[in-house]
Amino acid sequence: MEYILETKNLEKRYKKFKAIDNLSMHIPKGSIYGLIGKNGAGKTTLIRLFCALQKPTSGQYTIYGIKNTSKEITKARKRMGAIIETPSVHIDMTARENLMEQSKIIGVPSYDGVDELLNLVGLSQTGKKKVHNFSLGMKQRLGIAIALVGNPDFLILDEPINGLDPEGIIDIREIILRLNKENGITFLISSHYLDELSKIATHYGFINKGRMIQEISKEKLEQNCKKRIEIKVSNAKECVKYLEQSNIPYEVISDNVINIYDKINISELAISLSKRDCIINEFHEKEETLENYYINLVGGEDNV
Amino acid sequence: MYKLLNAGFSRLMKNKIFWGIVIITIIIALGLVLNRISSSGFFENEIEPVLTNYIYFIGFFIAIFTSLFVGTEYSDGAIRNKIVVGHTRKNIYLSNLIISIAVGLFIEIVYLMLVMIIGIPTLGGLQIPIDKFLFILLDMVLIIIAYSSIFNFITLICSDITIATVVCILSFIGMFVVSEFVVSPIANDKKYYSNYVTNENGEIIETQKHLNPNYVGDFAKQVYKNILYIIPSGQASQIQSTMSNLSYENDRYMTDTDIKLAGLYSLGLIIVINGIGIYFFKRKDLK
Repeated sequence: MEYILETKNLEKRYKKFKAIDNLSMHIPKGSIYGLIGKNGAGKTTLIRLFCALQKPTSGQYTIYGIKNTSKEITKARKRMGAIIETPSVHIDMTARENLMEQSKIIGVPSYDGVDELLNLVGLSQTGKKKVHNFSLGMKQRLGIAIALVGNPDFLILDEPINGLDPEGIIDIREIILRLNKENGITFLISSHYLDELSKIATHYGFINKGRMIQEISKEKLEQNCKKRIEIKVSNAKECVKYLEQSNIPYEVISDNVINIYDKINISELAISLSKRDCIINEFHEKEETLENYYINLVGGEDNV
Repeated sequence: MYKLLNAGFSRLMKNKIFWGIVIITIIIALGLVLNRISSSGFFENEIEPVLTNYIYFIGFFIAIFTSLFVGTEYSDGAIRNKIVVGHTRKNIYLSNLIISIAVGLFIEIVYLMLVMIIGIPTLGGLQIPIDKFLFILLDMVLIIIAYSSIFNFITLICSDITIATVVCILSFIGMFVVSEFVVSPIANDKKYYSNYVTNENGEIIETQKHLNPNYVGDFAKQVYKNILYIIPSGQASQIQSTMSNLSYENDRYMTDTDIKLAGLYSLGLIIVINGIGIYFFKRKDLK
């Protein structure tokens, strides 16, 4: 798999406090990578490291395969954009002037793409309105447009929906999905709005106390969170035989615990297993939300 | 670097603080030159003191402009946009410095042009030798660069626009106070005071000498002089005093050698401040 960004044993210390601790991370090309963690988990610090606002104490990361310590990293950075915490916009300028200013900073030879970007983020009608008169949602959308100047193929968004109203959240979500699908832009999005993130992310990284607890794809996470029936049986071997014959999807969890991922007739299952000298001792219907999954992960981590 | 300067200067053209300072400069220039004319009449006074008057307090305007213009980069987050897309911190530091210097030089030129356009026809031309005046102009350019270096350094290291503005203004006032404080011992260039009386024949004769209580000694005087010349406001104060008292000789005023040395002091300060500034800015954790 091709990775846009990878880290290896990354560490950031502030005096004795370890904000990022031996962290390894992999962002596949074309993905929407959701970085999940509670406040103070190290999400923003990690993003600041990727954006060269701060230097790692030890360890390294690569962007497009180029090490952060290499001089060539500045070339790789030209292919990325970012919004960190708050959108970086000049409040005494209009949306158009902001985009023209960023075009100059990047060295884009013409302003042909400015109108297209304003259309993309729905700010083409703002005219001479200065940014200090914009709503937070408009500023956030302008921040995305600024990050898109120069056609980057990797965008980092730190808490992009913080403080937005429902309409603003939908706008940002649609922009992200469109850019990912139509332009193939890879996203790293940090957030603690898990439900919102679950609507767009293709990969997840769970971070706590500066450490990466788990990296997981959407498919695998869905499988882990899927609605299932957990049964505790006296004879797992016979139970598996029956499930195989009946084409019922399952997963053996331990010697006597099996997860069944299908709607089944319980009476029929119990009778069929009983004929095979297998008794159902316990029966639970289970379903995990992303929130529960995260809490279980972090809870486990906190108890270590 | 070119891209940063291009973006910076285009932002400068729309900057209200910059244009406000230009307007204030024009008002000051008109006020000072008209005041000189009205106080002494046409062709009765030199133009030199008016020409160098603005350098005495230009630091205040550079402090305000630099702290607000560069400080806005932090408060609006524009500095992050530059770093994220791959601009080096050294280039960001230097581009802001160049813009600050350009503004300082621009307002000084506006001031000089106005004073000369109105002053030369009314007060007369320069009385100071032209080569000496050119060296003083060079000193003034270096003073402006030194001020810009100091305030750019403070703003980029502080990272908070309010703190940076307050620190820059206080630094200017501090430099101003220090230079006024150290200039007094330098002005006391005589170890003894002489008493003079007129004798019966009407001749003035020296009777006795008194020790000058404000005389600090040659070594201390040299130390004070070095301090004065290191601080841009000290140099500005010296230039202004010298230009206002062209016909007097005193340790208080600059000799030809002092004028050349002042430039070297400024150059040293500029190199040291920017060297330290770039070193710390490269290592600074930004938010």
